[in-house]
Amino acid sequence: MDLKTSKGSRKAIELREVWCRRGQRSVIQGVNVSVGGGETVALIGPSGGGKSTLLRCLNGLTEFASGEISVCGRRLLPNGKTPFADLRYVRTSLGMIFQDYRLFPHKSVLANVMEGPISVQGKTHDEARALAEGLIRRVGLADFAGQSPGSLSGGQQQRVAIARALAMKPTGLLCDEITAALDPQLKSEVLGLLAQLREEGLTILMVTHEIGFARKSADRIVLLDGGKIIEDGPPEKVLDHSESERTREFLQQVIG
Amino acid sequence: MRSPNLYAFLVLAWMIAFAGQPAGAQETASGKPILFGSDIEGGGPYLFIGPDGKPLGFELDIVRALEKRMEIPVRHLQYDFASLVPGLLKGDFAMAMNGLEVTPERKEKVRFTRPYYIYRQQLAARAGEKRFEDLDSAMGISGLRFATMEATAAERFLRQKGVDLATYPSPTEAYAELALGRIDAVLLDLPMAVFYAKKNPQLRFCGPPVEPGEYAIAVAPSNPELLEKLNSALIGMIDSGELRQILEKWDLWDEVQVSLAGGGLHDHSQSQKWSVFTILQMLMGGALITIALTVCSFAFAILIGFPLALLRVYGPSPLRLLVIIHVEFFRGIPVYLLLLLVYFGLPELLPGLSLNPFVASVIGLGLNYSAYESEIYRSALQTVPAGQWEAALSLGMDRITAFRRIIAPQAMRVALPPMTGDLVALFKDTSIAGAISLVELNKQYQILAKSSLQFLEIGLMTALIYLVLSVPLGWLSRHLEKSMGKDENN
Repeated sequence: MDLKTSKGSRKAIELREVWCRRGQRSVIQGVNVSVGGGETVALIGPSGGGKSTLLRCLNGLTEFASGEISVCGRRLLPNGKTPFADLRYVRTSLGMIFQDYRLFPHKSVLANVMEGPISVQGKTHDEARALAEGLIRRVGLADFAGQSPGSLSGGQQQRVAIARALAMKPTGLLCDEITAALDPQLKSEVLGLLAQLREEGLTILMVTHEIGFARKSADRIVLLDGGKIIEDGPPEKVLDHSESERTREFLQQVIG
Repeated sequence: MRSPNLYAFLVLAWMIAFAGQPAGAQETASGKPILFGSDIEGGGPYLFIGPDGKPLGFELDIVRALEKRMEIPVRHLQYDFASLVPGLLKGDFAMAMNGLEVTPERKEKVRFTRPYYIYRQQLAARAGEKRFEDLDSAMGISGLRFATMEATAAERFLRQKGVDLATYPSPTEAYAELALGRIDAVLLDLPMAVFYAKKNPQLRFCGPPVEPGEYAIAVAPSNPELLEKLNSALIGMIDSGELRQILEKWDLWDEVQVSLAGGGLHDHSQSQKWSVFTILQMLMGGALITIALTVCSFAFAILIGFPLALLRVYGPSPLRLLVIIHVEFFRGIPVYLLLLLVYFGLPELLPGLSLNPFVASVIGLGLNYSAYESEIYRSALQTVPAGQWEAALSLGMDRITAFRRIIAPQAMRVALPPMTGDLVALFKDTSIAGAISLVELNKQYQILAKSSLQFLEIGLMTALIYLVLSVPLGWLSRHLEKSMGKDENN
């Protein structure tokens, strides 16, 4: 895979003073944060703190009200004004993985992975098939290529979703609590895959509650609460040496 | 309206047929009122509702006179004209009197009194008609479209001549169609022609009245006492000049009525026999129309229903409201009424618009089913989770591609089973098109059954054709359903 960007060399994602409203409520309140190319950043924080919203703003699924967002060198405009060509570039550069997989139920595992290259990138059926078969092998599901997604376990479905995102040859992934719905054993097969992708240089921004994984694999941890960034730093600093009362409170709740 | 009455009648007739003795036939002896069956709709001058809302008609006057002479009270029972003979036979009423022409087919089923009127048939055309002057010259012109009322002697006569013929349940519709230009000539019994067409400045009579025949009262063969009483009362009315007075009052007396005194025309023509082959051939012709009508109406319904569903689900709210109004309107009114509105009502709104019965049926049935189809598509589209949109958009698809490749195929799988049901229902609903003179399978059945009075045999043959067509339709849709249900491997 063509992922030669050296860590932190160029900003893959950059937000400045970003505000985002849902109805009357400001879900994101003036956030400044950036993710370097090839970096893995874990976005943690209490529920309702704005983590998912922030992630969805980055590929235009949710509109933001003001501020500056640039992703992979393209500016996103507030209030849904981003031209579709830019939106498409951003979306194919950063694949999105959802908590509930969202595979296409009317298509086989193989066809799910082929769908993007064919209908977005205009690849031929044979090209897409070769690419998809490689990716399905890669995520360890070669035997399941012809099956319907519904017959797979949650962990397997999530690996298909990752393969589907990788088929677009993205430079990074946006992961929205992608292991939250999985049993511990299935979690590890997905997280293991994510760790591999990180090694290969993919930029990863993940909303997660897996503090253990974040400590081990993330370059930085960002804590978002009440729409504001409370912490932003290396795992050991945020997790072990935080000076903020709220951070310690939150960590205590999560770790138990 | 008459055709739905007929369906209800057929069902009832088959249920009651074996249930027991006719009820109306046995009430004569006890002095209780007896019923006479007659159709008041479009029934002038026989029996109709006058301007003051009370029933009027020369036959009502005759019944009142008969009542007095027989000393039996007689009450009217509203009955579909074309079903009078079977209604009489199953005992819904004791006598049928409704300008019922004495034909050989009817004589085989029921007993007729001596005639009380000699009818002739009058040809009518539009006032500006230049191509023909009378029935003979009209018969010589090819491409001319005739119309008459169903189950009349005129229908029998025109069918024997093999002209292009449309039949209607009442004379008013036939003359309305003539005035609209959708047909060229109407042949009907003189009393109807005088009553409905003579005063209409858009129409004119062509040539003298022709093809005389007799009106008589029909009674069941099982009721010879009533026949005898009616005959002696009629003789009394003829001898005393009372019948002549009534006919003169209604402007129906003419020189041919003189033969009433001698018992009528003494016509001995033979009944028409239809071979099974001819019947099947005619039914198959009707079946082809039914199939074509089903296919076109369903295509039209989908063509309208699908965009409506898109507007309903994804459109701006004012348009959504319009779609809701469309759905509720076309779902809420009977499809029969809708058909009449399209066929007879629309030309009033847009003069010069002349829809043929097939096109009008496709529009009526299509609009009706578009409401159901759009509701099916709407609920099917709404069953696809919003997450599917987000997954598709996150891959970089535009909304149209996402809809086409991800949303629509999933919705289609949900929509197909109820669509299947609708297609079969529509196939059967096409029978309603007979109401606007389209000769589809059910109308062809009515024509054949009412002309030959063989309701059971022809009815069963027709049912068989419906089944042969609808059962494979069910198989085909179930097969489609299955193959759509399979996962695409792209």
